[in-house]
Amino acid sequence: MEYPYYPGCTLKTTGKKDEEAALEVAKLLGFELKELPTWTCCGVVYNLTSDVMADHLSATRTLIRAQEMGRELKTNKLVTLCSMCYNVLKQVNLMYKNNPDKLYNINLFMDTEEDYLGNIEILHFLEVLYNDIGLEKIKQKVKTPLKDLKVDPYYGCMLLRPKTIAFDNQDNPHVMGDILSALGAIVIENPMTVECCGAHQVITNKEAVLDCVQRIVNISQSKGSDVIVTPCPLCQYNLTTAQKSLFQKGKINYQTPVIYLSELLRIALSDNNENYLKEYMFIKDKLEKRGGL
Amino acid sequence: MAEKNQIPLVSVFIMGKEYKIPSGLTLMKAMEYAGYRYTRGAGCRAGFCGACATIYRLKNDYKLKSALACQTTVEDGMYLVQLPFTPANKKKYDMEKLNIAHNALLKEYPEIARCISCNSCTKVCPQELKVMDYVQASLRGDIEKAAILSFDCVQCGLCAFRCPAEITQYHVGQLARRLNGKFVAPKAIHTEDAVAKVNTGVTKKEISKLKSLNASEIKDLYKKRSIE
Amino acid sequence: MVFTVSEKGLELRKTVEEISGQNIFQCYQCGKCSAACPVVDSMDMAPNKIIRFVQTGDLEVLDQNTFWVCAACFTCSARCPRSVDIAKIMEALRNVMLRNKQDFINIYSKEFIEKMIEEIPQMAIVAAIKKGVW
Ligand code: SF4
Ligand code: SF4
Ligand code: FES
Repeated sequence: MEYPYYPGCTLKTTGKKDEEAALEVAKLLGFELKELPTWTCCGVVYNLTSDVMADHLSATRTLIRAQEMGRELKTNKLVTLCSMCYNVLKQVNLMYKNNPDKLYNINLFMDTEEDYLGNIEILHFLEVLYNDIGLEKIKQKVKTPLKDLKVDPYYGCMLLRPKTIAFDNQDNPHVMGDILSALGAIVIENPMTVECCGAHQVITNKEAVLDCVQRIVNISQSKGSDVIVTPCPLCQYNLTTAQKSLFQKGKINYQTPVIYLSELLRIALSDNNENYLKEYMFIKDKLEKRGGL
Repeated sequence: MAEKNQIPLVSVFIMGKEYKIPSGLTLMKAMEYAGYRYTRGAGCRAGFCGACATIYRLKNDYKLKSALACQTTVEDGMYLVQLPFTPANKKKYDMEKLNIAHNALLKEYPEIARCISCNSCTKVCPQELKVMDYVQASLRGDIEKAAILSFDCVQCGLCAFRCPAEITQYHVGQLARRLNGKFVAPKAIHTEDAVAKVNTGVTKKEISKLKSLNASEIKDLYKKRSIE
Repeated sequence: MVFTVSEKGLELRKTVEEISGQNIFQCYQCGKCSAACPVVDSMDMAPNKIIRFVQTGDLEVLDQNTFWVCAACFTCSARCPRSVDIAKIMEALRNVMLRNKQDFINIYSKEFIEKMIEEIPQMAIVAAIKKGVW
């Protein structure tokens, strides 16, 4: 199976690790993420006004690229790795479904592009794993069970809100936890899993991000997590850097590593993971101690 | 007289005033034919300097078109105006202090983060560059791609006029090409060799010989030069 | 007590309703949005109070930092028992300011450029600029 795949700007830079790991995980699970040949920024934040259309252009262009590639690959799906890209693309797509007149107008405006027909389905990588591949198959493919590794799946806001775009239970999501259980990990229940990490406020109001992260990490640590797992490059950044500041300020006692779900998947699924494990010594230590390796 | 008039005339509206212009003239010559004299807005007259950016519409067409005045011939029913200058903020930067981190361009020109992918810039570019794509490559830190895609830019400034995000694309592209040349592209060894050779003083004799010539001798020499 | 709303206050309320597509009087001031908001501690005024001010057409609402601090995480909208999309109201208030040429950030200021350290994901920069500059 081949899926058209939209990476987004950050996955090419600070979120590179996520992309590298995810592409490999896909291969290990028998599918391929084919990057759109050209793409533009998704817009990052969905414009919430009722009257500005210009901000939807970026996402629309990507939907058209997906439509083109989908014809070739005979699919109407488009896979994203980044939570914010997922959110924006899906919200824009939905907006067109509910407002055909807006789709008509935007097609009229984009007169050098083919018309967007409104049929693309936006999927997050997690959905592909959970729905199209399935837990059973993932379980079968595990080479190194993450035995007894205590993981805290952190969703953040963009995958589950607003409700109309959520692919999991909005308040009590389980998809990421289920996948991690399939890898043999112990999944911690953190009520803060759908709390916001502060998002772009890291630029304009860093203090707010520190507060958000402290609340998330406090519970995670009190429940004894070894690692926080996230699908979003902004959450990964905020959680990691805010912990550093919080630690320096003495507001937390230690820093919990924050890694991408794809990274953990790669460790569990690949035959030869020695190389990867080197990068994640804390996991190696934990696994060895608990007889997981 | 009669013979001269055999060239058909076309109607061209220059800044709203109609002129009858012999077909086949470039927009630049048409302006001059109509009585305008260029003090700005013309440079190479050969499609390289980008000084002669022009926008126009045709009768019964909503599309805004663009051209380099020196490269495009008049059409009947053209409404045109030339934009000899684009007000633009050109950053001062020290190439020695820059790097090619993914945010190098974003740091100098943060406005590229405002691009909404409207594609207006690509549509207007008289060089037919994929301007939006090079802005987007810049945003995602792909300096090499931005440099390659913007390579043929003549800095005419039309994209910057059309951009709703107020980006000056051509300055961003220029910085991308500079960074690419300095840090990414392979070094041009022959240039270094040539510079070293000049530094040894081999050219000194020739230059002082040239300096001693008078104007007509130089003209003679120029006429007799070998052309590659 | 007679309660009057100024011309300008009425206009603001109308504009916010138009831009957000929300009926501002749906809100019955239960405060759930403010209880749920992850960044409420940094706000001059809690989200429910912001809505109250818009309801009453109090122009002071525009002087608050609340809608700039808003992270657009949609938690408030998810929690509201009256289905008010508060995140959209915050966006509308940002837009009232921005369309009045009052940007929240100056992307050429030294302060802003300094924030652009190498590790920061572009998505954070783009998001901040999209929300804070017209
Ligand atoms: S990129 Fe912009 S400045 Fe360069 S040639 Fe095209 S329109 Fe002119
Ligand atoms: S005109 Fe400006 S906003 Fe539009 S695509 Fe080009 S750079 Fe982006
Ligand atoms: S005058 Fe130089 S490009 Fe036209």
